[in-house]
Amino acid sequence: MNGAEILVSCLKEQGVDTVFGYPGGSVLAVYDALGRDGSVRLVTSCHEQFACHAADGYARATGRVGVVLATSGPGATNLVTGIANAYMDSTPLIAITGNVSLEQLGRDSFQEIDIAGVTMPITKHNYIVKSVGELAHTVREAFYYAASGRRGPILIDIPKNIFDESCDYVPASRRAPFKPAPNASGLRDAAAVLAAAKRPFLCGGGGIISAGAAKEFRVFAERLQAPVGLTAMGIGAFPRDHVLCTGVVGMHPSAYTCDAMRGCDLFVGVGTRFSERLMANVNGYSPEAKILHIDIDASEIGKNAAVSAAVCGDLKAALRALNRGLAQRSPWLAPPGTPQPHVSFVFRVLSELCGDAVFTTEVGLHQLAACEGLRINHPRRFLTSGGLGAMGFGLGAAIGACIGTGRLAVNISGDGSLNMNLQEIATAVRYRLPLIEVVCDNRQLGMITAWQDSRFDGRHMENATPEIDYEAVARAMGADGYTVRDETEFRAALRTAKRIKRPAVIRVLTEVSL
Amino acid sequence: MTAENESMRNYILSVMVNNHFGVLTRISGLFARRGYNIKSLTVGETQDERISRMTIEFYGDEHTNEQIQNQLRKVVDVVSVTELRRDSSVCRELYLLKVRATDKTRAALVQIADIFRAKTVDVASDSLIFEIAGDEEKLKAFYSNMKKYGVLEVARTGVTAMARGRLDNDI
Repeated sequence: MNGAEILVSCLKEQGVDTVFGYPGGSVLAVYDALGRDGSVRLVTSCHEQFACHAADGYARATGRVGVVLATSGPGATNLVTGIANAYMDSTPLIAITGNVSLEQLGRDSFQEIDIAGVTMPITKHNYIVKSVGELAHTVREAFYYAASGRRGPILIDIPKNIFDESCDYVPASRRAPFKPAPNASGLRDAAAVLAAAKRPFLCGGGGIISAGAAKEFRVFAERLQAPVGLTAMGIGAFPRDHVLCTGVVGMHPSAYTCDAMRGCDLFVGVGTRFSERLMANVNGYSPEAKILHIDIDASEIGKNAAVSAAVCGDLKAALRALNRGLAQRSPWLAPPGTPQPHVSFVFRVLSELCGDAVFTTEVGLHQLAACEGLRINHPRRFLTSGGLGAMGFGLGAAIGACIGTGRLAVNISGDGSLNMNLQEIATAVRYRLPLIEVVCDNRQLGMITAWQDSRFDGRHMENATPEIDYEAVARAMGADGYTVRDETEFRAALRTAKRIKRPAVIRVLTEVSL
Repeated sequence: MTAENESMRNYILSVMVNNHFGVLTRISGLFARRGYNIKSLTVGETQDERISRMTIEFYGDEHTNEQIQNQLRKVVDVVSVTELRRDSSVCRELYLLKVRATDKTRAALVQIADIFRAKTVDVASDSLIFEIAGDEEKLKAFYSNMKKYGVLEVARTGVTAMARGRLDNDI
């Protein structure tokens, strides 16, 4: 077999059913081999960044490893934002790039970039394949590392002559990813601080979803009868409609979340890295509380938060072990009797009509509003760019989620974010995806406006966006387009779009804030 | 969690890494990116040609030390990380020191060098080069003795180290 065929065989060994990407000179042999094989679905975006976000969205929505393929030089550098996004949010992703031939490497050849050097700080690991003989082993190892421990992206850079060279291919089966067992001393310490705590507050992060530990986390919360706040990455780790769920922690916590954080004597972070935004909550609301940290990554323990106890290891195993020792308690905090604070009709109607959908968001005001406003009750149904905050992520992720799960995908966007990835509506049309783009169009960068109001005396520098008729743009690309002004129109448009099962853009003309 | 307190000191880590291209960049990049302060880094092949030993000396506190070790253990090419304590390991560095020498001072310089068991490895009309290996205290003492004669150039290898008795790394 030649290198391109070996690569395809190795992808199939790993159970890869979809490759996102964009063709280019150095990977044509791979596309050719994929085409001749015919069993792997190819999804081609209009721009490599969004193929990468799509592979990321596919991974988040399915729990499998996402794969993106791009050519050397600009193809590779266009992946950078997507890889960084996957790195910050710990998504298992394999990025495969072609490069110029080995003999041309290091000579500043046409479309040559040291992408391994570029992506070193934003990957778990990366490889430059120097001979066809090491290709199969490299691909297998890359998949193993991407899905082992704390998950993350891995890049494999392959000079194009490797695709043409031949060697023996010896089939191998997929190696199960490594799950570190929770440390026994940590479990003992955790049991002790939990036993001593009168008013525990649980903060659930994306690690719970990644570990497939939502069930164990729910038992944990219900035994303790502890209020549960979720990070943006943790949305879906615990049912939003559960009486113990207070909402989302971070920049704008609800009154229920604030009460829970203020009243707690033990702050339990589960599968969260205590980002600086969460630390602002801890320092602001729970400065006296002890901290228990449960996470898979030893380097996150004690990095940002000084902890009283910590368990390091696979969350599913850790929570199971802790649950065994927990007696049933009664609640220490009553849920608020007052109705929920204002939620835009957009999120009320979406929660009501699209309960089975996978939701994705872009980045901005609409993202914060979606985090708090959508009623997400299952893991892997809410995908957002939590760490990197990459505008443009959502539509790519929605495409990947749609392809990976076959479910309706709804991307919630602002007009600013949609202008970053508008062309990808054509990708959704090309693959006839049941995908609805809801663009909350306030003709400005809403979060920029908000910051300028609070920090710069309302001087609005460059916060305006170009006025675009997204309904007409959608139609020009072959999607359905709607423009709505209020709840009734939105409800009607959403019902129609859902029924037709074709890509649709619903432009919601909104005021400045959602 | 700032690193500014009285517990700041020098730490030495012995890090076994895969002997691949790019591993040095990975490790030094990790230190730069996370703002850890490397004092010295030496690297060389071990008895197993597939493995290199990196000896990293850095200045920090216990929190930074834990963070660095945990971050290093996440690097795929890192085989093991061991902290070497000065009381239970041999730590050595080599200096080349070019010192101003005149007919009047040359004999005194060579005499001091003899006391420190430094070698005179070059004699020029107006300078001498000494080679000296040893632990931090010895090198510091030698350097301060030479200073008043005029140290023209210094080349240091950085610390390399090994645990006494036990094997410090399983490879």
